[in-house]
Order: sequence, then C-alpha cells, then structure tokens
Amino acid sequence: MYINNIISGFLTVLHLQNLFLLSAGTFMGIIFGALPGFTAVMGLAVLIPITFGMHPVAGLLLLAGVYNGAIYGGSITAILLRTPGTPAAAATVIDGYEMTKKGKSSKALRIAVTASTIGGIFSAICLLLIAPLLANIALKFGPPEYFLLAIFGLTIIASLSSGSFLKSIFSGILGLFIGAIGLDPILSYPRFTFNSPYLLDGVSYVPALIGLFALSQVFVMVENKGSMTKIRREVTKIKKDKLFCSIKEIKELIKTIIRSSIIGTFIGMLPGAGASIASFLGYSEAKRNSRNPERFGTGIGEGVAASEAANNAVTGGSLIPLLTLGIPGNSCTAILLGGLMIHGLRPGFELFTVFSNIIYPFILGLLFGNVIMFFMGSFFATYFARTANLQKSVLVVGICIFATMGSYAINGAIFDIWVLLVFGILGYIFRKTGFSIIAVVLGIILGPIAEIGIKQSLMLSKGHIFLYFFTRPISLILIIFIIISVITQYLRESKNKKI
Amino acid sequence: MKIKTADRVMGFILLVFVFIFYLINKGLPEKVKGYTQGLLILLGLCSLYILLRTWNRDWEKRFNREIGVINFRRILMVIGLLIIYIFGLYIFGYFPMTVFFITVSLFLLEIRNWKIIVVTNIVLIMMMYILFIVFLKIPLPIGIMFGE
Repeated sequence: MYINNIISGFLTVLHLQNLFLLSAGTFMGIIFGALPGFTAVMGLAVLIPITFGMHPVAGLLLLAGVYNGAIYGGSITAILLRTPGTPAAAATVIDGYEMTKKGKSSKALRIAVTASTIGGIFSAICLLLIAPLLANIALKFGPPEYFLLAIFGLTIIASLSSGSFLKSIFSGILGLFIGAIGLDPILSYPRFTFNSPYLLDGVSYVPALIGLFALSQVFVMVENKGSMTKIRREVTKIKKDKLFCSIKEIKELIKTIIRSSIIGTFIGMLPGAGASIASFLGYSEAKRNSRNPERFGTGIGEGVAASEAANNAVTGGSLIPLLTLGIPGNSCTAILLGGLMIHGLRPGFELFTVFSNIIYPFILGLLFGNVIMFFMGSFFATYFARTANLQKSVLVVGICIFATMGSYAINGAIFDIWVLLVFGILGYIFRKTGFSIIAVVLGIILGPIAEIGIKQSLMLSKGHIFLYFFTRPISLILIIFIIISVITQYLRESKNKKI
Repeated sequence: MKIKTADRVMGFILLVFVFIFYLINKGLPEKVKGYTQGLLILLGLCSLYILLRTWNRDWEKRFNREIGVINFRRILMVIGLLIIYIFGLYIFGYFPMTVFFITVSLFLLEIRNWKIIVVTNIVLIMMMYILFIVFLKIPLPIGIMFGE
C-alpha cells in the first residue's frame, strides 16, 4: 500500500500541469527569498488564496515549491549583495560574501544550490519515511487527546516568540478567542457575530493570515522611507566558470552537507526552532568538526554548504509534526496548515490513508521541487539577484493588490478584505509592541479543535473530567508534555528575565 | 516610542476590549458562554499584568527600550488608501479602483516616473485578470455601478 502510494504520487507529480505549478512555485519562492524584506512566510501567505481555486494536489505543489524556493532564494543575495533575503540565510553571508569578495561568487552560488538541494532532498526523504509511521499514533486520538494536542501546540508559543513570554501567551489566548467567533460547535448558537452572516462560520482564517503576515509586513516597509528605495548596489559581475559543482568539490563537502542535513531535519521537527537556528547550528557544527576552523569566515565553501544544507533541510523536517499531529512548528508551516485546511484536509491518520492521493504527491513534490530548484538556481541565480534592484514601492503595491484580491477570492466577499485590513493593522501593532503574530495564528487555527475536544470530553466524561483525562495513556503523556513545555519555557524566560 | 508607553497604551486598550466583550458574552446562553468567558478572564488577567508591570521600577530599568520610530503619517496614508479602495470596490468594482489604488499609492510612495506608474498598472491588472479570471475562473468584484 505504502509503495503503491509512492508510485501513484510520483506519477501525479510528473503530470505536466503539476510539474508546471511546482516549477512556478519554486520560481516565485526563489524571488520572494531573494528579495530582502520579503520572506518565505509572506510568499506563502500571499499565494495561499490562489491555491483555493485549484485541485488540492496542484495547490499544495505550488506551495511546496514556494517553501523550498524561498528558503534557498535567501542565499543568492546573501552571497552576492551581503544582504540575506531571508533570516535563514544570515549564516550564509559569513563565508558567502567573503567568497564573492575573492571573486569566487560563482563557486559560492553553485555550492549553495547544491547543498540546499541535497539538504532539501534528504529532509523530504525523512518526511516520506517517518510521517506515515507517526500518523498511526493519531489514529488512537479521541476528543481529550485532540484538546490536549491543541493546547500542546499553543504551549510552543513561548518557544516561538523572541519577545515576552506573557505577551506570547496573551496572543495565543487572543487567537483562541478569535477562533471561537461564530456558531458554537455543539449548540450552533452565534457568538460575537454582531448579526453579520459572514461571521457565522467564524473569522475567515486565510484573510486573517494574509493580514497578519503579509499586510503587516507591508506596513512596516512603508513606514520606513529608507526601505522603500531600491538597493542601489550593482549585482557583482560574476565570472561564469562552471554551472555545476565538480565531483571533487562535492566529495570535499559531502560530509558537511550530510551533517548539516541531519541537523536541519532534526531542528525542523522541533517546534519553534526554524531555518535560521538550523543554519547557524549547521555552520557552528561544521566549524567545530573542521580540521581548519580558523578558515571559517574567510570565504570557504564549507561554510556556505553547512548553513545552506541545514536551512533547506528544515523544510521536510518541519512538515513531520504538521502533517502527522497538526502542530505547526514555525510560521511557514502554520501557513501551510491553512493551505491544507482550505481544501478540507486535516492533519493526522486520515491524511495518509483517505487522502493519500493528495498528501503523497505533496511530499514527493517537495522532493522534486528541490531538483527543479537545483536547475533554476544553477542557471539563473544571478538573474534572481537582480530582482533586489526592483523598486520596493512597486512590489509593495503589488503585494497589496494580491493580498486584497486573494482575500476576496476565497468566499467572493468584500467583507473578507475588511478582515484582511483589520488583521493587517493588528499584525502591525503586534509587531511593533512585541506581541506574537504566530501565536495569534496558532490560536485561530487550533482554537476550534481545542474547543470541540474539550466540549466533547466534558460530555463523554459524565462529570468526571479529571478522571477521564488522567486514565487515558496518550492523554496522560500529552499532559506531561504540556507541563514540561510550560515549565521549561517559564524557567528559560525567567532566567532571561523577559516575563 | 518607548516600550513602557506602548505597553501602557496596549494594556489599557486591551482591558477595555476585554471588558466590552465580557459584557457581550454575559448575554449569551449559559451553556454557550462558558468557554469564551474563560478565555476572556485569562485575557483580562494578562492585559492587567501587562499594564501594571509598567509601574514596576525593576522591569522599567531592564526593558524600557525604544521600539523604534513609528511613522504614523505614512502608515495612516496607506491604511486610508486601502479603506477608500475597499469602499470603492463595492461601487466601482475591481478595474477602475485598482487603477486608482496603484496610481495614487505609487505617487504617495514618491514614485514620480509616469512610465513606472503606467507599466505597473498594466502589468498588475493583466496579471490579476489572467490569474483569477482566466486561469482560476474566480470572478473579481464588478461593483454596483457596473451591475453587481
């Protein structure tokens, strides 16, 4: 069955339309990644509504391409312009730009794309092997487990936030409250709908998500007059010696790439630890294990390979907890969860059985996307870097139009554009004042799951709720995880005095 | 703006917001209001703590940093323009309002080159048309003036 699913998924990805969308997603992703100020999260948020009108496989392949491409794209401007397109490429600057200064930019670019590709493929294979096994656990979940899983997802809020623990907790609860707007899931009584028919089904989460992640970022960019001017730097003229890494170069770097791929995949699986952490960890481990650690930072290929393999390996790793348990570990996967839910797909066992015709092509698309990314990166990296010279004002206006029409397209309602604007303003205020946007999103997405879980548990427990929760093994394990997660975060934050 | 000022303003606004929603929640049937009431109480406690800690001298010493300059004029300008754009969509629909939005916003963002403005208009409008109407078959707002 498993092999059949893989073969069938493989054939689905190879369908001409799907290959085109995967390539288009990768292309757009690389551009979003290469543009300083524009992130993978923004790219995914803006493009989600487009996938709504597509077949789920086609839509998810587009998003897989964007995710892959954007994480890699950040390295191009990091190497050529010393400006990481995404935070994940910050470690690549260290050796990448030094190589450019030495006239080895072409080598740095081909090492970056090769390492990113290997890292991405490695993590996609891990996803393909681990996720179906882990999904079997979800089969044993009942209402209390779903409630506790949602709460566990929310407790990772603190680890996701770089700011105040308290503000992140507030943001998460606010998300839960926003998720509760609409009809009561058991009694179907309207709550906080203000007699608006548009709110009966709850706050439409796609416009909310675009507003919080994309529109708020637009406001931040508009606010700063300096960021609106184009980067007036010439893209370094590259001597095109070779397009691909030689066998000798790969042999020299393969140990580092594999080590970083393992680190990246593992870090990706941990909630809260994203591509930027993986990239720095991959880099520091490569330095620690090197025979010549003093050469790191002077412009060596090993440094570029270490950080790039690690950050792209996060893509597959981060999808493991998302697809199996519904826990998005970072902002990108939170948006991808929205992308799944828009097509009525819920993470867990069913995703790998009932919807295997959708999820296997998605996973294999992630794998193939890396191959497409490899060729795009090898042939067109310098052209992608030139996008950094585009007028930011034009791009910002383009994002606004995409965001508004994308929000409208979900339900064909202008009301959703108001939702976008309200959440855009909320996101901007939260960014400025240190509240957590990702926590709000997690709350909105996980809120309904938590509410249904607790209400059904209350009914099933017949008044003995604590006994009901504590006598179920998985439920008990989840309670322990939640307690450990909260205490660890609290202690960590108290140590840093950020409460 | 300092984080202390921002937290005081936010704490106060959030408390008011929570209080208003708490009152609304009280009007809901008994079996419905429990979950949201619990959330509102937690939100209220967090807001109160965020507000009160700004008077703590130890906290102030450690965390009262600058949160950066907020350019209200430019932000309000874009928000105002978006509000006009959304209202305009009801009446005039997608095409005229998008031309208006792109032209005015580029002008306000200090793009004075008319070639850029015209090309941006053509490219963005065509892109959205091809993507939504031709490719995805999703209609864009027509506006009451043109038949919706």
